[in-house]
Amino acid sequence: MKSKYKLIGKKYHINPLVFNVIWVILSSLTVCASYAQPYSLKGVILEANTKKPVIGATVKIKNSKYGDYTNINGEFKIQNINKQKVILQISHIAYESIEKNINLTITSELEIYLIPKVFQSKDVVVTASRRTQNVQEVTNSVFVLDNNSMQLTSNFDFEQILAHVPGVEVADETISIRGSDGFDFGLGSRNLLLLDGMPLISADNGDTKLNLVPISTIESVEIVKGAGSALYGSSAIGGVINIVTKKNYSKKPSAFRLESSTGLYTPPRYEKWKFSPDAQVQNNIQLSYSYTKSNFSTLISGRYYRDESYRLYDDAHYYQGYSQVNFKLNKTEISSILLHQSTDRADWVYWHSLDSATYPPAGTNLNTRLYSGKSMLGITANHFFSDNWLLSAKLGGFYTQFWNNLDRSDTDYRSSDALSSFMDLQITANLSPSIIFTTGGNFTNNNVASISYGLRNQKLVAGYLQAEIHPFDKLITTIGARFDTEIQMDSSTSSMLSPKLGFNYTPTANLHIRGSAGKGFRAPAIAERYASVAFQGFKVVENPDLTFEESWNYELGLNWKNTTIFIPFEFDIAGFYNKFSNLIEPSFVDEFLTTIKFSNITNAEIKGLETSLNLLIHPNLILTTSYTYLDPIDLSTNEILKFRSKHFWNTSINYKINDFSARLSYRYASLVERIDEKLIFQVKDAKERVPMHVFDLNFSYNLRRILSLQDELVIKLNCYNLFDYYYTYMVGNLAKTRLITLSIDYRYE
Amino acid sequence: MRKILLILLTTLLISCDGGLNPEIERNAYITGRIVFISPRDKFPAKDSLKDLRVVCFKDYPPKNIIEDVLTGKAYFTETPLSYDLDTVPFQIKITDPPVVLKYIVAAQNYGSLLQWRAIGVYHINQDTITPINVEKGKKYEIEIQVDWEKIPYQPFGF
Repeated sequence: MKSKYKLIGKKYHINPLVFNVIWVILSSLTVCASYAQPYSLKGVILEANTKKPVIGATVKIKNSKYGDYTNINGEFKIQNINKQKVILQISHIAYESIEKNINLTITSELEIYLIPKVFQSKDVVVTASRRTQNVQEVTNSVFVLDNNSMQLTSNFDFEQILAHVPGVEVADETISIRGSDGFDFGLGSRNLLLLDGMPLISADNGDTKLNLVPISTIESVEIVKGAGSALYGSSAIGGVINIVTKKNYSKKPSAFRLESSTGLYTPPRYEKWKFSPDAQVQNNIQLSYSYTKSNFSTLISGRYYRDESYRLYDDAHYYQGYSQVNFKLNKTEISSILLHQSTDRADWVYWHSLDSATYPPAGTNLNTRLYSGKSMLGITANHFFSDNWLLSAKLGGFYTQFWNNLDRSDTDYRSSDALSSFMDLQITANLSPSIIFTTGGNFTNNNVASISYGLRNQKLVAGYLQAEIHPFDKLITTIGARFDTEIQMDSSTSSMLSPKLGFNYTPTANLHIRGSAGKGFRAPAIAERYASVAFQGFKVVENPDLTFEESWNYELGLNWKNTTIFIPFEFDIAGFYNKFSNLIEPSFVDEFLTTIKFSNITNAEIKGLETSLNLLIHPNLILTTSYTYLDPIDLSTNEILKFRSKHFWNTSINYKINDFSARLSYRYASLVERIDEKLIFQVKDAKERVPMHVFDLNFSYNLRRILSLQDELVIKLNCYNLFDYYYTYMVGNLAKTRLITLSIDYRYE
Repeated sequence: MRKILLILLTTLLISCDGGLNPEIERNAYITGRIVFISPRDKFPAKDSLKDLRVVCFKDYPPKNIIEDVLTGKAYFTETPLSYDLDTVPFQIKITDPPVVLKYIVAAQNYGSLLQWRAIGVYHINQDTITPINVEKGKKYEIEIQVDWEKIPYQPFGF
């Protein structure tokens, strides 16, 4: 439904012929006068369904400094406009933005209707089926984070942004979707992280690398929950997270943006935890420049990050560079990304004890530093043969390296160089109005040269096929499969067939019922197979016999929106059942409990329920709440799966009026009921844990209007862990304490 | 709706107690009394009443009072208790709960440093020993009766 608007002219009781003559004369005079007399515009903004006034909407004359906000009656007034033909932009956090061409009279009056956006800020996704589709047509649970909501949470911390997604836990760059991952030393992610469809998984550790992409360049983040190996292959056991970058950066040809923040960890409440007389700080500065011209756009960005941390010997700093080039040639779109990050950090593993939770264990060499580098070059090309045939190609390389500053003869010396090369070719075809066909091939080559893992190679070759069939108007069905083959260095091979079935039924326009069944798998990371490394009292030994982890995922969900009632809402519920086999877990293999080996030892199932509710309490106030219940059972022992919580609850209240935004959010995770008991012999107070209760508070204010600026100048005050609640995110690791950050975001765009 | 939000927030704030705390009491305590139920004329000779302690054993049967104490398999009252009172109060700090204390006795040192025997056993039922599941931060009140005419079974290996 399009927005409606109408000009309210005053009523004249006059002969039509006389009226026309007067009109022509007046129009001529108006044209002449247009250079001399300014126009004014006033009107009222109403909600399309309820006809209630919309308060706090931004009404702006495009490409000018003229604008206003609607008052409590939904009214606005803009005066002294020096052009007659203008484009009026109306925007509001809770409504679809609109633009209208207006031919002004001396005093124009408008009545404009806005349609509630009702929370779904992005309507299309590209990850769920490897093609652009309406988010409502997807057969899995999908959560989409758009740039606006991300920027309110943080300009820099991607981990913090993901932590607010229902059913997602993230700590120390380890992501867990619906309990898929536990405590695994950060090796072998069971969730696939993609950047514009290209994997950000390291070739050696098989772990995800977050925070490599400037958040301001992200268009959206799509989180597809449930096994996704039928389209994406290895690692997509728990789900797929795809970072989708912007391709159009600015309305101006040349634009730049400066983002800077300074944060302060407030001193801990307990004297025993104070390790420095000075407050610890976290600083960020990022400068971006973009150039946009018709079919060409490019962006270059640099960032420096420094974190003194809330723990002794946990500091880090890094430099980051990011560039992207996008252009269109007739029916071909090409985009390339080049990024690099150099990090220097302390090698924190676990605490000394609860009494000294901010100190590393006694005897830790505080001079040991861990250095790492991460670089990626990725090129994507889309060629539209016709409206119905699309060829997509992706080519990329992800290089990671790390080493510490110990002598090579030291038993704790570690180093690794790893390159993951990636190639994907895909065809998407609309064979008929009711059949969409996606097929492609994929090749991944992991090369590792490492003191810790040796000289290793792993290849994954795959082909996939998916058909989306619309048997009738309200039903979409998908059927597909992918066949992956892993080739190891000794030419031994292992294969996996990952099928998938799904449906999406839309009985009414606002009600969608979805269901899916699919297989997931993960090839062991080279580090899990071949690690031969010592660190802080632990020794890891190799296990070349590791085989694939596998999972089956079943899900049934419902999405219901209602925008016509007093409080518009969106409700989503999904029940799911995941069965895992041959899960790779670290376990102690010696009586002294110091030697660890990764083994396919665990079979597990996770049953669960996930609900979310978004309420538009007021045009300026949105309440979002979600609850996830997991019942993770280790089938090998019939006990709860280690390192998992059962209950998660996320709630946030978002308020926006004019240039001011505020958000209060709360995250809860119930007590981790079971850990690896043997860890208590290595990690002091390993059993100490409590449920998680974290409040975050975010304020944002755009100073553009009060300072009469042409450009955007936004100041933000973020308070992470508002009440300084102390909990562990993994064994022997105190989670981040309260961090108060002040940031400035200047955009010449 | 505002009231609901207010109640929700208040509930949340109350439910959060600040989380982990380094100063939390992580020990547990066994407190109580030894009650001598025998008349004074039934007490052993004074020169055999060299020391009196309460000892809590992690294992049953224990190997040896001294050895189990020295190897961390038993806790004991840190100072000697008195034979002069009919009811003798005591307290033992358990430093590494949770732990199961399987055998708790009043022990008499009757000769050399190594010559100890159990003279009263903590039990609820007269016929069996009573273990205690000791949890962190908790205090357990017990009573041990000593009847000099009915010295309990000595399960030790000496």
